[in-house]
Amino acid sequence: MTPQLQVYIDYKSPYAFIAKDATYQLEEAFGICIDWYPLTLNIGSYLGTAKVNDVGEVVESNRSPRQWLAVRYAYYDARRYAALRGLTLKGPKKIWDSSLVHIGMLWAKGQHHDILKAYTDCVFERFWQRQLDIEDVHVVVDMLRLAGAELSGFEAYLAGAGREQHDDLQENILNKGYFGVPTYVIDDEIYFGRENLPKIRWHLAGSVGPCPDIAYDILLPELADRS
Amino acid sequence: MTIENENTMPINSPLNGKPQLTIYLNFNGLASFLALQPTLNMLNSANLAGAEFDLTWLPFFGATKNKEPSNNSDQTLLENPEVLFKARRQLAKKAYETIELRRNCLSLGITEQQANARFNAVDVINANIGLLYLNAKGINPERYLQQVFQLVYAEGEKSVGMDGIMKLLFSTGANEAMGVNKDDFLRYQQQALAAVDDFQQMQLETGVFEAPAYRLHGERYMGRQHLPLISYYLLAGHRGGEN
Repeated sequence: MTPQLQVYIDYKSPYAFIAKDATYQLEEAFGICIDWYPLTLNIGSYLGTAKVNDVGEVVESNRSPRQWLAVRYAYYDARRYAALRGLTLKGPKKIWDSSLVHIGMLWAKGQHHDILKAYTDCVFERFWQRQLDIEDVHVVVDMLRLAGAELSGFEAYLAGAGREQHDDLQENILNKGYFGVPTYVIDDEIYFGRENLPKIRWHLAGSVGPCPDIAYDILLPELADRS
Repeated sequence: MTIENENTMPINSPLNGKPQLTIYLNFNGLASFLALQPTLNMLNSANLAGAEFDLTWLPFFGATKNKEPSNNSDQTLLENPEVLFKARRQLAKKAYETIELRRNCLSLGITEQQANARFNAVDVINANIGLLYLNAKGINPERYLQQVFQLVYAEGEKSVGMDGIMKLLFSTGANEAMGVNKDDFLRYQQQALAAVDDFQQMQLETGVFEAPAYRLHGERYMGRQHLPLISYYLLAGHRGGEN
């Protein structure tokens, strides 16, 4: 029996963004349908908060030097892998609350798998080009429309059942021990980070032979052409 | 004693000279032990494929600590949901680290008790200086690296003393004829001890804040998960980075 794969993402995470396509490939390679969930990170609580202006100057911050080092490296690292995939990844100017756009994700998920993927593509690509205010409900509605989602009832869902579902989910996620994105869960086995994709493929293929080591994917057509 | 400087070449440019690869390992870090064999395998493959590069192994001199308290430190859990989230996230992260440790032990063939072994503070400094000493003598330290990690994690040695360090140095094939002896090492050790703070500062300034870390022409890569990309750049003769 093919195992069920759950994947937890946050649209404001650069690491989740660059993991997206490689994660989609799992569906094709193993004939599975990924069960996607939003994991709304409260980044400020563990990496401090900061705001930058239009020219990239820090105008507000409560980060320690160590937090700045880690955050700057994280974005730098994500950008270089995004560049290899031909993706644009512009660092956000502030720490966003992604709960609205995640409720949109749950709405899209309730309609059709393809609508969810289209919504995810729209949100990720535009957000990382700094084209989306994901805290604006009209923007979320626009993204759902673009993804082909049925919109009637969404605003009520957003204020009521959707918000409740989202908040309950976040409670349960922490209780289950999922703390970051992307997180992959197969047969109750947790893998955090896209560096685990070789292990996830091994697991989905039936755990045959030795378990591979962690590695970031560079199996990209652009790279293969250039080598 | 010289300390290498950050390379400031433009990113993703073709290399004019041989690529410079620097690898940082922490002798008291399981992640570095986990990285050693895959790194050696990657280097062997690159060499076999004809890649030309200059290689330096350096000890990682320790992580920087948060000297400034975070803005949350004076708030209670009940007052601030962010603090509560942070605490719960920390618990979740700890639980995951336990799972990862189990997986890593399986992969290395060691027990969790062995995985938690650490050199004492004096010996880890001497082990670090031993690596610098081999670099200064122009001796390939690969055997030394393997032996140090073997000693810490497989044999659980917490204290080896100066004789133990000398034994590790000689395990590389170094000998008296090469000028390697205890007196010479002790002289080097005194100079190195005086420069430890500079090394630590330089690593921080070059942005190396954890180990294992790799620098290829100034480009930083934290963690062994980058080995495929580093290998690609070594073979392609290009420096990594954004386009």
